[in-house]
Amino acid sequence: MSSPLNRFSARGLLKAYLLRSRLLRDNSPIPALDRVKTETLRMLDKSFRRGEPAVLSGFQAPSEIFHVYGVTPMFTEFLAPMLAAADMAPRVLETTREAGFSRDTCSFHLTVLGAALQGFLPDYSLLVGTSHLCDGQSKSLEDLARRSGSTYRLLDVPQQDGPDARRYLADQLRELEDRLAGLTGYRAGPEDWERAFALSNETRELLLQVNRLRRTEGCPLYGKEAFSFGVLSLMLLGTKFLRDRCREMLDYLQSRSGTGEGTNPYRILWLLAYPYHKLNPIPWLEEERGVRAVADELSHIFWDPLDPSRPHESLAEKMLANPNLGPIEGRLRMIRELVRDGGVEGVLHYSHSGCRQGNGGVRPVQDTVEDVGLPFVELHGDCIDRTQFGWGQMRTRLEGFIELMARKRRGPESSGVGKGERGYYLGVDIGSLTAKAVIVDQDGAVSDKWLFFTGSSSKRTMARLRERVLDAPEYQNRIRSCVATGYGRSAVDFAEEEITEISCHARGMAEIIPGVRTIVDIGGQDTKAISVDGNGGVRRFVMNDKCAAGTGRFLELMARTLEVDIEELGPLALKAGNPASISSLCSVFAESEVVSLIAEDTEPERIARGVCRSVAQRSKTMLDRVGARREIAMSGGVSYNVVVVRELERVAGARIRVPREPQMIGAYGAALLAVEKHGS
Amino acid sequence: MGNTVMKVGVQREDPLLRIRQRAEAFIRELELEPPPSPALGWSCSYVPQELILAAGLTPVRIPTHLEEAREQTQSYLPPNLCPYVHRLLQAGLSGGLSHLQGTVLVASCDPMRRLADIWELYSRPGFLYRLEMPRREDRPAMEFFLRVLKDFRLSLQDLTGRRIRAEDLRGAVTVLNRTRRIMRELDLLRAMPRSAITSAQLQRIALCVESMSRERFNEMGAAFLARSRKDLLRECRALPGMRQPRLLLAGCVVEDDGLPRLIEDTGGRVVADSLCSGMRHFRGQVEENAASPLEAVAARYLHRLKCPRMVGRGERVRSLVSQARESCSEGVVLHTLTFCDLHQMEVPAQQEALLGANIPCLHLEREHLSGEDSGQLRTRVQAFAELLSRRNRGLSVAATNADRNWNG
Repeated sequence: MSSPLNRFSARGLLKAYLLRSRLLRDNSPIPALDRVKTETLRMLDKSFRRGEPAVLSGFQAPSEIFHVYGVTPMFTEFLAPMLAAADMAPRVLETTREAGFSRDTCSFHLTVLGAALQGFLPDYSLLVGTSHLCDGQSKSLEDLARRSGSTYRLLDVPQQDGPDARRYLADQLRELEDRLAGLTGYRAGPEDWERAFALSNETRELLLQVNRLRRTEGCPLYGKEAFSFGVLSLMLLGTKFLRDRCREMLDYLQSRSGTGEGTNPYRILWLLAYPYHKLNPIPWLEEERGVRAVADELSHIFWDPLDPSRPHESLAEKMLANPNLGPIEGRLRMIRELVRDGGVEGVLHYSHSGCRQGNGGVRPVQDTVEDVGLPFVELHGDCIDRTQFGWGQMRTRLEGFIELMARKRRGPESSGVGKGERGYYLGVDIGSLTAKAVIVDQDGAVSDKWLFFTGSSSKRTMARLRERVLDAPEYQNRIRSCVATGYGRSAVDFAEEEITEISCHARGMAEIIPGVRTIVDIGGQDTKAISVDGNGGVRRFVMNDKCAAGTGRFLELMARTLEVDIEELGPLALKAGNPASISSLCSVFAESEVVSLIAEDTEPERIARGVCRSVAQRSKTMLDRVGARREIAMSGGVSYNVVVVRELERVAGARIRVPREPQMIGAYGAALLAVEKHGS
Repeated sequence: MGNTVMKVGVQREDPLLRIRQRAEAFIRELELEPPPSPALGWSCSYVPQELILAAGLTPVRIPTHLEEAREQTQSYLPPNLCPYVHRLLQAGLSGGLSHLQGTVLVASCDPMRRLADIWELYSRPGFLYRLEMPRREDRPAMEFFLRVLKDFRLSLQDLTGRRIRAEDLRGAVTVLNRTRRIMRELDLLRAMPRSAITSAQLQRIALCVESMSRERFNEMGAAFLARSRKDLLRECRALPGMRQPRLLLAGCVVEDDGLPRLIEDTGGRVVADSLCSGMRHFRGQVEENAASPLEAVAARYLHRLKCPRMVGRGERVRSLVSQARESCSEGVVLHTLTFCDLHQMEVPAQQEALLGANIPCLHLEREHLSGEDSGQLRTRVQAFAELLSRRNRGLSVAATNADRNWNG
């Protein structure tokens, strides 16, 4: 299965990297972190050596036991990021697909499997999975062991801590120890455990201090770097090397504490993992938007000091103390603690696409965060596979999240309309299919509005906007301020400010339908549900993930399949008695369902109705997640489709109000926000 | 010559046809059985039903085949958890389980753990027991599982207010062993050269068994078998086998008869299965004369044919190949549900092993548990049956590699 050439080139790459990091060591901004990263690579390099006792394990295996026996551990969850950082992940992922593995499984584990299939990995004598946090990990390690003929052991970690669970796990750790003894020909004595545990405990104390310092203002260690230091440490616990690096890190942080620039960044808690490929929002978030994660869940120190007099029981207790084990209440408790101790202003959940246990808990996590009154945002992405990355929506979500944090900082505010300078204010909303512009005066009264089709070139759209709006004789040089919103908001070069369509829809709708509390916005690309307060401010919001299901694009695709114009879909559906069942969640599969229905001679009216119902059901899910409160209003182009609105009313059990020009709400809101921003 | 035989076959009443019709009547009777009361719902084949029965409750599989809509559940669980978990949640949220005394959910996989959380937090469940299930089966695992079962027994006693004695457990073991024996006999009727019952029928029976009184099923099942056995012995052996290719259906949970029916309608014939909603659930007995019935129950559940959640990929793959051989299956349909990591991770190894054994296989991944899905699925299944029939007739004597590892 492996190619010697691939192994040779993998080692070559590693050696080159190690050499580079040795040469550049003195220039490193955070030397301790760099040395830890390099050490991880060095350990990988060492595992390639013939005869080296090397173990590949899941990242929640207690590394102390490996260091006691002098074997070189590697965590499978560390290999995938290395491959992603070297931009090799897409290639090796393709190998797993060719071998018949599913695309849907966690890319961390698929990447490692693919790397093994291509021969990039060393021969590990022992593979150790842990069962408690991830099915993909234990399954992939077992498969890998079978393919390479190595030994596989699973540490089966029960979900509930207790004396029985501890005994069971301690027994397994004893068995693992026997394997390690067999591998090395050495049996560890009490002094070995004492040494390793003393180092581990000392390191634990230092890491606790590092985590405390991370929360202080101006700390130079934050975000992904801090996360990396904490997570990479897990593999080195019980070594003198790590203890010394932690001391170094602590000295470094202490010497710089309080010296950070006074930018007053937004402090957030980062949940689940970080993306490792180059296409990720972190530099933008940290540098351009001033958002810093001051805590994360994976570098959280959750275990008590280890007791060398009963090493196996003590390691079992450590594993069983994991807050992600058992009922979600443990994780929620940890999150509340991290929120409180970190003084955070918002919580971000990076939902790595294959992580079932992490993402499965998002609803209770979101409810918990919002219960303590903080904004929450969920980002859908993949930590390893850059081909899964969609920046447009991620950016809208993040900006919406930042706007919520900003609003919280500012405190309750009243509308600034009517207080602005006399003149005109422009709101521009660039959607995926249409561009909208609204001009209001200082009192918020609409004086003009336009709608264009965007086509493929945003430059051309901008030129038209300029020509028709900015350069129109009645408005030339009289527009005091412009706010851009929508999918293409960053392309509007003449806007003073970009605000997400989330805030703009909330603001615009509150003006048109006083008393609105919930908005469903179904546009060409996105579906959103927004909960608003009495002033048209956003309380919380949810957005659809990357796929087109439940959006205007979905309706368009289905209309095309039915060979009708998008405008005809609603009237057609209106004629149907009962809808045909469209059960698929994916627009590609739904299309094939529609084709099947056509082949079975189902009336087009019923299919059209089924299509509308599926969009409504999809939106209902979002309404539920945001907590639908009346009045409910709908915006976006899809609200022209009467049947979708009716179906949504049916499933939501409430009347849904649709303004006369639902497509213009975003631009109108943007214009109102321009008045407020300019006036205040 | 062949025509003459055919004619004779048509003129004489086919006893198999009679048995199938009788089976149909039997299933309709089963389907009319009233829901048992008091009953306790379960979600995973690893729930030791003997303990529930010994507590005076009827174990009932949480019905997931009744609900279609999955959208409601998506505000609680992400769409990329398997459809079975979504359907279970749908059943929990819809209020359709109010006739149950409670539910037992198992920490069988990551999505099931999260399901239990949502169930607990958002569906106000009354009695909910979260069962631990080891993934190993060695001595420490056995000791741990035994302690888990003791705790489960205590919880059941608290729920019902009555003690579960050793003889209660022995009684339950006898009843459920009998149910499993009857199911095994029905399984063998399906496996005969001319299947006396279809796989779709067996799947419906399996569904009924898990939602009715087991004692009642045992009576009805035994009576049906007694009537059918006589016919079969007398007449069937002489008849030639059927032409439809024999298939083994293996993989993820299949909730209703949709998939086997689709296979049987398009020219294939499922003669054996390895599904946790099919015969994998019923294979393996509890030792009846054991000194400790609880230990015997624990041993059955820990050592039975394993779901991929358990360690033992190699053994599982080997047993798939040997089951295909033992059931004289000409092809294997590997069925997975989208987002079921546990099953999907073993598919490549299964495909490789089947290829090595020269057994063609078709991997189907379905987004739904029930129903016949799309026309696309129908085409793939039918083409697979056609391919096997062609091999049967010797038209492709030198089957190419592509033929053998056929993925549709």
